[in-house]
Amino acid sequence: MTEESNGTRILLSATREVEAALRSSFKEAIVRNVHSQQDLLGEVESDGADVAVIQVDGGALQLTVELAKKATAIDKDISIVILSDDRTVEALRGDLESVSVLREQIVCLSDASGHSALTSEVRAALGRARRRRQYRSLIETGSESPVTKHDPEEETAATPVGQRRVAFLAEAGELLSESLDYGKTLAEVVRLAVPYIADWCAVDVVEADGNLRRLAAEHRDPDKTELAMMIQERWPARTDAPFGVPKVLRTGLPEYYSEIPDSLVEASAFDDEHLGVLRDIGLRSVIIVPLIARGRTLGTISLVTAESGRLYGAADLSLAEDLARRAALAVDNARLFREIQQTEQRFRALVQTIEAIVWEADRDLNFTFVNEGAEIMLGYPVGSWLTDAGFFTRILHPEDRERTIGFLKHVAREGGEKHFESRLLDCDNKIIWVKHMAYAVTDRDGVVESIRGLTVDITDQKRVESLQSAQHLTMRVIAEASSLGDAAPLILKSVCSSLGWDVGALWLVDKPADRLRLLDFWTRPGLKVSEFETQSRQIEFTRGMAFPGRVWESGMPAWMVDVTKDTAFSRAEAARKVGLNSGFAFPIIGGGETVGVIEFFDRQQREPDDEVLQTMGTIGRQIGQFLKRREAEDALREREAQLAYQAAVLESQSEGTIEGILVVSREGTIESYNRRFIEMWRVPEEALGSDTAILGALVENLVEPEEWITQGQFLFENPAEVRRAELPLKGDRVFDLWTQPLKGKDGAYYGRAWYFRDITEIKSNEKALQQSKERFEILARTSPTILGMFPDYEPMLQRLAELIVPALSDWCAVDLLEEGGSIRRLAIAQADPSKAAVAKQLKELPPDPNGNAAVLEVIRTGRSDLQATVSDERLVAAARNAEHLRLLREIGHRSSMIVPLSARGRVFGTMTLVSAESSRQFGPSDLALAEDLARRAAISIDNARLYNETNRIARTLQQSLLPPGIPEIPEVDIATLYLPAGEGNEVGGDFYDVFPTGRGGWAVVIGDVCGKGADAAAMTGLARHTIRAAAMQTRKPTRVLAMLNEAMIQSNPNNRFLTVAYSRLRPAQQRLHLTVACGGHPLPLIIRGDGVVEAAGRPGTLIGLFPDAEAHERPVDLHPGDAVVFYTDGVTEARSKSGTYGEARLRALLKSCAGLGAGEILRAIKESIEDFQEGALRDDVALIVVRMPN
Amino acid sequence: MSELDVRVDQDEQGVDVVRLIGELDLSTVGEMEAVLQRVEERSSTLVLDLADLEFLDSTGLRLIYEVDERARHSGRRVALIRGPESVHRVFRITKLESRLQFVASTEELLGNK
Repeated sequence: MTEESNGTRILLSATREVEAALRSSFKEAIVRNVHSQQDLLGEVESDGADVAVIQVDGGALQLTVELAKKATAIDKDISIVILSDDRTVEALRGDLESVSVLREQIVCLSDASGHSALTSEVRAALGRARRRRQYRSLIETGSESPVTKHDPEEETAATPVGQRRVAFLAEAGELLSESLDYGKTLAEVVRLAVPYIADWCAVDVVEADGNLRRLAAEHRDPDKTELAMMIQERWPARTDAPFGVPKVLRTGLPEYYSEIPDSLVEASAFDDEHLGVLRDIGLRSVIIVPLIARGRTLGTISLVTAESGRLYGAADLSLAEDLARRAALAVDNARLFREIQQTEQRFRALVQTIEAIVWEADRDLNFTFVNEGAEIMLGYPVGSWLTDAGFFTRILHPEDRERTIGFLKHVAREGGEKHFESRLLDCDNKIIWVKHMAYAVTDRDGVVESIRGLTVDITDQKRVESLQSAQHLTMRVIAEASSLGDAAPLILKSVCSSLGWDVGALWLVDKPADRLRLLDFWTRPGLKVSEFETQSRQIEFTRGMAFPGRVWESGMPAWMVDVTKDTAFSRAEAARKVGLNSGFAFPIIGGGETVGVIEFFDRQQREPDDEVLQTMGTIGRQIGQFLKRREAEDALREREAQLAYQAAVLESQSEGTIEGILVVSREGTIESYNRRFIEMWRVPEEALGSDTAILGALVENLVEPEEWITQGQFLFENPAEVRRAELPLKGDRVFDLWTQPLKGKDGAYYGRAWYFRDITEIKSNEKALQQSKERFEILARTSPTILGMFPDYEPMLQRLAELIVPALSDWCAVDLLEEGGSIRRLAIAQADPSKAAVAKQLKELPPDPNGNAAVLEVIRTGRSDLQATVSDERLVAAARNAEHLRLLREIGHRSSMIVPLSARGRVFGTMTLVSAESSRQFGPSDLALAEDLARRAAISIDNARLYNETNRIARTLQQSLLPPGIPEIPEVDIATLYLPAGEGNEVGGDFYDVFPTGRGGWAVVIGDVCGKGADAAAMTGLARHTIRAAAMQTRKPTRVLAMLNEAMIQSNPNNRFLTVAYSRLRPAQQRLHLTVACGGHPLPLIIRGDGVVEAAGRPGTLIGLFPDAEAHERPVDLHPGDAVVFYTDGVTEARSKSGTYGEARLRALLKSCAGLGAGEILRAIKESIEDFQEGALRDDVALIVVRMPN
Repeated sequence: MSELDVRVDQDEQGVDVVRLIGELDLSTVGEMEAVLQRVEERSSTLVLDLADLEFLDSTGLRLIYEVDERARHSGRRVALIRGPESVHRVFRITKLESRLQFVASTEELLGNK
């Protein structure tokens, strides 16, 4: 290596731009840009350099590292700066840390940090290079003569200097690595340095606040250690001092004063005292070395000789530098460690206090960390998670085990993240619903190292959801079922699966027998409870007997925490055997009495739950209402069926005589005739009795009398002849004629019978058929209008069927597939009016879903069925029973078409067209027309169904928003009213509620949520529940409104607001204390006994928009005879041509209501707005009247 | 069904005056919204003239509130000309009266600038 004495050497393998930047910054340096990295290595080999700057792109990364290592091996003093893009720099740093952290010989720099960063990096590197050169020269000279002159210890030890130096560094290094308390460690090192390499020594570090602190000091004269310690504190060095510790901190370069002149000591002293201390502790030769780690100067180590009189040499500087490097690293490590520790402590505190289980597991799902939240949530010690391999699987609910483990394994295998719910069992075996959020921790290559997760308790949320779901499902089942028999299994299943009960049983009261009998029994699939089920099916209860009997008698829900221990539970033994534990039953109440009991059982021990009891009470009432309704409907249907049957019998009798019959004897005299014959031929009364007169009457009617007289003669002479013919009559009538001989058993000829049938109508129908092509066109064109007209599709289908006959067919029926798989006939029409009774009967006889009717095949395949001729086998296949078959045959099927009704890819019914008396034979063009009609009808039905569904949900919602009943408040007369606005499918946002708030207090609430529809209804529900919850927490109406406001703002993304009048009611002696708070709602109106009407309360801000909503509460007393009316806008917004109803009109009306009871006041208001209103109400109306009776 | 007529006048100062004539409720808010979509963004000052409004329900109130809210967020200004008592009552009962800017006339508003 050649020594460059008068200039530093900078080698480059970089762009011209970098070259130019460095040339301008380091004018005195020799800069050489070799462009290629390999050339650069050659250059280092031949001439050496102080700094090499290598610019590299990502691809050449590995090569560059190798190159840099080679370069440092060749020239131990070289510094290398690698310039690259951000990502490469990041990657390189990791790689290079191990080789160069001590020597800081290779640094990486992002080329994005700019030229100035490069320049300063190069400057620092040059500094290091200069320093190294300096040390080298010092060490080379120093090694020849001992550094110390007068150290007695040195002399007696007689050990080679080099060995001692190595020994010292080894010892210091050991000390430094021993502890992470760097203050203590550095003090030890300082103590070690004195007196061996210094008379006194001090360590100063830069604190986090930027101030310098003397961390440790040691003097060989123990009395002066204190001085060495305090001097820095007492006379802090100016940070801009041109020498000493500040300068070292600033430049990062060591200071070395072989011998300090007294003048310098004097110059550095602040005052005389300082100077005194300086002289006292002594300054002869000084080395100050910086503590540098990761490019930052952390502090300094000062080594000073004093009374020993020794002077530092180059070897001492080198030793001090070495010591400083080790010390710096130790300090830096300790600091980093402390930081990490603090961060981790913070994190741990956070993790431990979070209300959830925070966990970590390895890829085989062994837990490696679980926070204390696990113990709080489940009650098991954290240790069981970590040490017991099967623990997690055991606490998973058996039904969720496979799925949960599956999900976790999936994350462990595939990486990524999964959120899912499952059930855990706590230490009391109680079910905890949780949501797991698990994600994979992967290494750089994407390989999963572990999985971490958060498990949150969502039991409360689930409980509310499951209750809602149970109620919702039950309501749906009820709304869709045709009978309780159909509904029972679905109700039991809905409630059991929503609330997680294992077994459900529905009992019905058999009124005449006064017994409770099982209607249906449900078990969670896979659960074996046959013994319990058998017993339940066999047993009957009397009033008050055992569990369901008690519920029947009391009409109240009941709960048994442990059925096996309940002596009054007759099936306890069976329950115990199959493992059932808790039970719960509630009455089905309809028309004010208990009509049934529903029981639920579970293997888990369950504590009574008020919310469940309450919800089930509601469900019980709903089922009861359903039963009552069905009863009424059944009675009606039975009566209808009876009437229909009677009508059918009568009609069939008259149909039996539809043919006119005439019997003529062998001799040609009239033997007999029936009534119909006389009617058909219009034989005058007076002609009866004379054969000639009767025949004369017949001839009168004929269009071609001669022809028929001839025919008659011919048949008389040929008794064996049989004839069928059409007989044209005057007045455009046509008879179908059939005549045959009457023969005895022995073949004897008795005479001739003539049968006549009036086919005038059929004939005219046939004529009509001629024009039907045109009518089809019209039909096809006009039917869409008809189809679109009915939101209720049943009348629409009937209308369509009536249009189709007789234009397209003689019969038309529309059958729809119901939810449960049964088929309902929605419409039937027939061309022949005399067949109305048959049609009526057939309407009630839709195809049997389990039978072989062709309709089923069409539903299954979605393909039309065209029968040019209908065989009797088909009728047999379609018939449900003999009577049905008879009816089908009576139609006189000739040709038929069955076309599917389908929409959105689903076949949900058929339209059947039959030709009968018209004798028409269907062909492909008829089928095309029928299919076209069916398509249109199907779309309309689908639309109507969707509309109805929406409508039904809306109505259901509305019901759930109002309290099922108003509680009775002692001494208070209360009446409520809810009038929905005209259009049925939009739920209004009005609601009201009356409930007890404890301590004899009551809350009366009325409110109105802005807008209509499901969103508004959801908010209404939320508002009602929030108010109830708030009222339990505070008795102050303004607080209730504030809580409501807060809740609404939080859950209101669409600026939907609501108005509410909340009132607390407290009955007292002879008065009713009322405290009213209004949030944007019309003020309630008080009607005093003397007819004065006044508003209660003061207006407050509407709810849900402003966090700073204003609310006031005003107490007011009602005296006997006073009433207060709460109302919603629907009252004042009722309208007629002359305008809206308005508050003034309401006040005037209320004035006239003074003295009336609550119900009467309510009725008066209702009638008044109904009288005023023209057309449907614009908005829903809700009203509450509270009155204190006289 | 209710009827609503929405008229927009732009005066010399570039202020858009939206006049609402008839009834603003659930069945007519759509019409007002459609008009607002055209003018709302273009004018730094929007005046909603309620003088000829005969009826206002909560959905109408919500729309007016939202117009004002949007204006506040984007540094525009909305002012209202008071309607008849039956309409103004709604603002009073809900206390929105004090949160919205009511002016007697467009002139007053401009003088106010």
